[in-house]
Amino acid sequence: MKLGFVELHARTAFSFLEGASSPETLVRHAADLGYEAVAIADRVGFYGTARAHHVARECGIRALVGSEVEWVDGSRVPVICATRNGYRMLSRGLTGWHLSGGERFEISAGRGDLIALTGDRRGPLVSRLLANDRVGAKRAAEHLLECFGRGNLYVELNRHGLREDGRLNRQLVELAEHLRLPLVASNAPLYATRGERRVADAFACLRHHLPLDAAGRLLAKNGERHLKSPGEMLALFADLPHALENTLRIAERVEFTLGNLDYRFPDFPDGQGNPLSMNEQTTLLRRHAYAGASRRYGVCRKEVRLQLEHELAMIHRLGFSGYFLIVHDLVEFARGRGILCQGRGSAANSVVCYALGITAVDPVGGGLLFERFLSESRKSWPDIDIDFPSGSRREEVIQHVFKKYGARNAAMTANVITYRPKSALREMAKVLGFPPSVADRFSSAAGHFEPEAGGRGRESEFEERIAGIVPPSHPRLGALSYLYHSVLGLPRHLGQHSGGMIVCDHGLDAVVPLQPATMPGRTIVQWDKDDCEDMGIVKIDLLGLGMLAAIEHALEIRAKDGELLDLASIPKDDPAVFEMLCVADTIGTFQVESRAQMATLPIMKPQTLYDLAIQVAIIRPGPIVGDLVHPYLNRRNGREKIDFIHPACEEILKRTLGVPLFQEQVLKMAMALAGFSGAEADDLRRAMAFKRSDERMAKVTAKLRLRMDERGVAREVQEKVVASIGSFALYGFPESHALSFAWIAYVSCWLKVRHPAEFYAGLLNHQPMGFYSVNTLIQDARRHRVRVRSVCCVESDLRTRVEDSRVLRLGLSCLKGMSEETGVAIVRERGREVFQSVEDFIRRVRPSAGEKRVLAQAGALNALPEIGHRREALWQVELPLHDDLFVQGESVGKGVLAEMSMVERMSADFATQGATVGPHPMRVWREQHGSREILRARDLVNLPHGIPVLLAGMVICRQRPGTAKGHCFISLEDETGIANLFVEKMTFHRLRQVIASESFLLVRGMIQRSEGDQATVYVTEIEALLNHERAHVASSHDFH
Amino acid sequence: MFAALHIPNFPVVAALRGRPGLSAVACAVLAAGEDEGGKLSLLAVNSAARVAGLARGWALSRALVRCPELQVLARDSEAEAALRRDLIGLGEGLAPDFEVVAEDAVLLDLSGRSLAVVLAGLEDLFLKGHEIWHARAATPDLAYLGARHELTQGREISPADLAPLSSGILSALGAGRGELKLLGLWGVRTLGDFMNLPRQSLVERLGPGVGAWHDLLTGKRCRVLRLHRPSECFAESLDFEYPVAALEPLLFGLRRLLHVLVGRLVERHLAVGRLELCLVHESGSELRRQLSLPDPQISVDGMLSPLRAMLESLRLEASVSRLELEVETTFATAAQRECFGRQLPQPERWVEMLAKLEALLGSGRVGIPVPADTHRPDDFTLRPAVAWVGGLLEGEGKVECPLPLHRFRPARQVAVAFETRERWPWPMALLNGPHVGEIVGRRGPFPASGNWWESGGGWQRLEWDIELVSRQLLRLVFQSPDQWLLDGVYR
Repeated sequence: MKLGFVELHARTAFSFLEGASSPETLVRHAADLGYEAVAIADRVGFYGTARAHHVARECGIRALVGSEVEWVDGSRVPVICATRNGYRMLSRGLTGWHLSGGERFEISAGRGDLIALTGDRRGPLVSRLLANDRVGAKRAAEHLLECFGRGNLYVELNRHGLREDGRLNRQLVELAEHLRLPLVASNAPLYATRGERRVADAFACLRHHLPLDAAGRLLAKNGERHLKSPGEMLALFADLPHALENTLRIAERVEFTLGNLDYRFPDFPDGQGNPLSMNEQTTLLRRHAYAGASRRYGVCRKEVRLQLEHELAMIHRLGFSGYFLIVHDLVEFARGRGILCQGRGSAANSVVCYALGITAVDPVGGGLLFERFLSESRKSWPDIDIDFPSGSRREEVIQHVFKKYGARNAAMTANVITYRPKSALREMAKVLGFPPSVADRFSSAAGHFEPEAGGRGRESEFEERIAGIVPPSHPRLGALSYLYHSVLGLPRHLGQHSGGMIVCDHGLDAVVPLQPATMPGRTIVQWDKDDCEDMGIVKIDLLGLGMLAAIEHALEIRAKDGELLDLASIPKDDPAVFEMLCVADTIGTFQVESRAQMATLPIMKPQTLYDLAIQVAIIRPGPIVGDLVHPYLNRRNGREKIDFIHPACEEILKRTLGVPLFQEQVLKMAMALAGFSGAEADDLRRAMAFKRSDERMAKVTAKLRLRMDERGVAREVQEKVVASIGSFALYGFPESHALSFAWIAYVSCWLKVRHPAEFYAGLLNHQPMGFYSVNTLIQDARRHRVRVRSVCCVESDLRTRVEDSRVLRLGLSCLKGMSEETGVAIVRERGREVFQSVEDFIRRVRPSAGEKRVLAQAGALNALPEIGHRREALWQVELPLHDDLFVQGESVGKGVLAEMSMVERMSADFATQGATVGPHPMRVWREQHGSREILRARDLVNLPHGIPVLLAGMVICRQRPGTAKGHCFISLEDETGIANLFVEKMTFHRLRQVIASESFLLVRGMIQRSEGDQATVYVTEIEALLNHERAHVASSHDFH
Repeated sequence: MFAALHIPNFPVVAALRGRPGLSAVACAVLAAGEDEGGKLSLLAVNSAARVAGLARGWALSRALVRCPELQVLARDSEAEAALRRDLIGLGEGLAPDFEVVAEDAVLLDLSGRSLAVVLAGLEDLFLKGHEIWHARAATPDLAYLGARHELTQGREISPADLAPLSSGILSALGAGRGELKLLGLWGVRTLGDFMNLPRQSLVERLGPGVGAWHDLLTGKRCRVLRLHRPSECFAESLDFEYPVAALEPLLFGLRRLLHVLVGRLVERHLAVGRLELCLVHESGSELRRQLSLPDPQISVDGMLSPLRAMLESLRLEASVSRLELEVETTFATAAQRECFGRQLPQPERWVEMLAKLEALLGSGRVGIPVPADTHRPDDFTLRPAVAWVGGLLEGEGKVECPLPLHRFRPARQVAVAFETRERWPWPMALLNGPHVGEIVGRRGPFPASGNWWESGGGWQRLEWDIELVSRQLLRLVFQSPDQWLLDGVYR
């Protein structure tokens, strides 16, 4: 056998707080060092294996799958999956370990399916030898031999440059000879390169909750636990050539990689629970699809029928009938429970989805491309995302899935929580012994330094941030900088994806290990959604959408009033809705309420649902101001000639006036100009969607250029195509997705126009949601002639309700610190008998001390007899309740406190609800301190371009998106409306302290009127507004 | 009659004491924790900052907006202690009975004092330019509250005078954040508002503690001062008639001083833990030495012996004209040490020996060395030689190599012929030092490194066990950048 070496016991940063390199880094480094294979064996899981597999495939090496399993005594044994069966067994074993809370690891003796090594110093042998327990080591080896079988257990030898290595390895060799076990060499690397030892040391400190100075011998003695080159390992183990040869033997014996993961989406079962055959599933799907189409279209037109047949045939050929039936089943379950739901994403391109009630957009009417959703050239699974009202209704659906498929057949996808700037600095500063205030100040400065487009590198950004906090001469600043940059992007722990669910009918735990989620009743898989997609695992996104919950609530209120409405019955062409959109009166609506959307709406002037879809797609996420006005808008308004980039793109880009706005268009352009196949176009799609890799995008772009070169496409055209793809990656939507969102946006606008009270009630009951605070929504409601009444223990329900078509009554749940139980108790007791006094109220409802105070402070007790005003209530509720001595109705010290002034009431409202139903704080300020020179938002409407203005208001939004080249956008609210400010980059840097810290601003600037005739204030100077009440501050939406 | 003295903005005043250049600049000291809103807030501001519109309690971010040139100072505990001592000194100068009511205030009992004298004293209050507020009242707490506010300071006050003051000042009487918040909700903005609340109803709602404040404010209650008693100083000095150059007169003088001190200590059941000796030379210069005693001592001879050893080791630049001796007290040992173990035949001799060693080697240089919790070879910490009961750290006793190693202390620097293999220097022969010759066998290298996070404090070394042609086994160490050391010989 030739001499060589394969590392069989490598760990990555997915051995959380132990490994210090990402799987990508480790595998790439292995490929650079000349490895043909490397086994990733992270601690109790396959967390990093999917990523390792992906990179290994790119690098042309094999990533062997393994994991360190933890024995009952805490020792760890690296196990490698030799066969697919072995993978299944290990995956189930790991699932069992996690679900039992780490108490047991059970594995059915796999003869030849699993290969185990005896492990490093944490292994059962070496840990005993270190304690001079040779008998125990022998016993442990025998136990492992019993578990894995002869020929499947290897004694692992490490040489980390420690004096004890010699003795330990001698004893291990003796033990191996005694038990006739083969030896295997390994460096058991924890990181890719020697320098990363520092990160491993920092992680060791985090693990033990100690700073580096106190960690002592818990830190590594040297930096030898890196991935050594085969040459280095050959030199290191030159005296034990068979230990090296065995690594090659094991690698050759391992036939399994994640490339042959056996995942199969479940077949749809019949009524008895038996899986249907593919033909039976297609027949059932056809039946449901036609029944649904009849409901949707009335009479099934020929074009609809043809499209249905086309889609059904393709779905059958691709074997996806079961998938559609399962999604349909979920949607039907939700509908049966009265839960509003709507599919989004590329599924909206399918008439089958429309007919099955999964989506709400008619793809035939909209001329949408089904092939974007499903294509024979693309073998990947369809992606159907379904929005449900956020909260308990969505949880019902999720729990239904768990119940239906069983605990080990369904799970949520994971969300890998990585180190972000704030968390990286917080933890690394702690490890280095910096005081907590350093991290606090760094975090508080973070908002000022959101990345700027085309901006500086990470280092300079970090240096700028840290400069004001830690002096450059600090002896540990260098270490802090190194650790900070090293850990950025490394996984910290595993979270839960917001809605991605995976199901399987033959044991999901055999496909990927499951572990409990933090939410009770849920489990998660050990891979995130991108890893799952890479591995061909189909997920169904059951997403929670706050707006859908609000819409559902609004429709329920209408239904109670006798008007039964559903989404389908809402007219799609209400002119009043488009009129409202054209004047950007969209606060509180879905998707089109942001500052950037509102700035664009008067330019866009949407007249149809498709216009609205373009509007939704075009502002994502960057604003359109100044020189960023999108070419689409220029062309739409005839100010710019339509350019189709290339004649071959004319048909593709016609609907969007030559501007590639939708994902489908970009893919088609790649196919038309670069001759991309369906599969290559799909690669491009995934590269654009893949959040974690710029590298992936760069690779696809290079390929695109190469292919366009080959086809003789002019360099200028190439640049335009690549630029459009690049910008698309920032704000791209698939067309169907935009249409689905446009529909929800339209419905929200329709409710605002036609049923404003219900609309605002829905919004207020599902906070936090959207762009604006409760206070801004209340102010907007008042501008739309909806009266909002304050919380009252005699009138309010738990939730905000509509008292009359133009009157809202805030619910008890609006009060901060009020528990749901107390709210329910108030409504229940009030229903039984009217409250006779505040004592009676307290005696029956039993609110906590904090709740009593909040109710009194908010004025919710004013309606009780003998109370009258808030201070009286505050005085009365503080009197302790003496059950046996209290004499009901006795007036004790009443009238002691003076009534609150209007300003005080407003402060109390903000303190208890974050909003006020009284006058706007700016009106109060203006009455006392205002002057004629200080304008209101409404005053700006008629001012001409270029005129200097002085303006004051309350900040409700500060934004500095990455696409805005460092400029900042502020929205100032006052009693008349909202004024938009534009702060140029240099001005922002000069004034960032005041912008970031002050809630009320006095602004000098000039009126700018661009297209759409909206007035924006170009800010030249900002200062804090003096003499305002500091308590009158609503929360603002900052720097997102 | 009582008077109160108060230094406003005490933390910032103290922090600025050593930095007079900053007095004209707006400065602030930050509070230790975050405020309710999770922001860093200002604990105290100086007058320049107040002129700029800043005040105590402001969030730092907001303060920086208002005053971008604001200097944020760290609290200086030493300067605060010194300022507090000065304040106490001022109080002592005005009245013998006083209470240190807060870190920034003292209360004086003026009964029996001439009002005219006291008034004159108060008017003349001066502390290195720092502002001192004072007030007089019939009860100590009224005086204290009066001295804490600019409006009422500098005069004799009655409860009515306090009425316009902010209710926030109640925190000086111990009101917590919760109580002040509730009073705020009740619309109680001033002490007058508070005093107008019916006491009984107040007690029913907020408890008797708040009722007590009500009584204090309305002057219905006068408490007794918790009198301040300065800590006793155990220091003695001796001026020689003629400057002394010989040892014996010095020891004679020291013995006298020790006798006096020991006499005082015995009365108080105390012992000496540490001695501080100051020799004032004829030239005016001083020589100070500290001596920690391993065991608390009360015997004059037990202390004189190490002092003698210390003096014998000193070379004085001039004759000594004055001798000062201060002792740091501790409680005499009460433990029955080594009750079940073998006792040293003469433990006092052991203690005396240790004290002598400390006197010779310097403070903190005597103890039992134990390996430090680090991978760095030979790193150790000193533990007290007496009264230390404890085990070694886990793994400390572990022998890495079974052969006994005769260590060279310090390790001997040698010249080594080497070649570079991969990234390691590979020793070939020892060229000088006690063992010279070609290296015929080697085991290693054993790399070790640590403290990489310290700029300039990191260390790394490579160790080899080598065999010379002379069959000697040695431990050789390479320390970057290019230092070879012979660490020891295996026996």
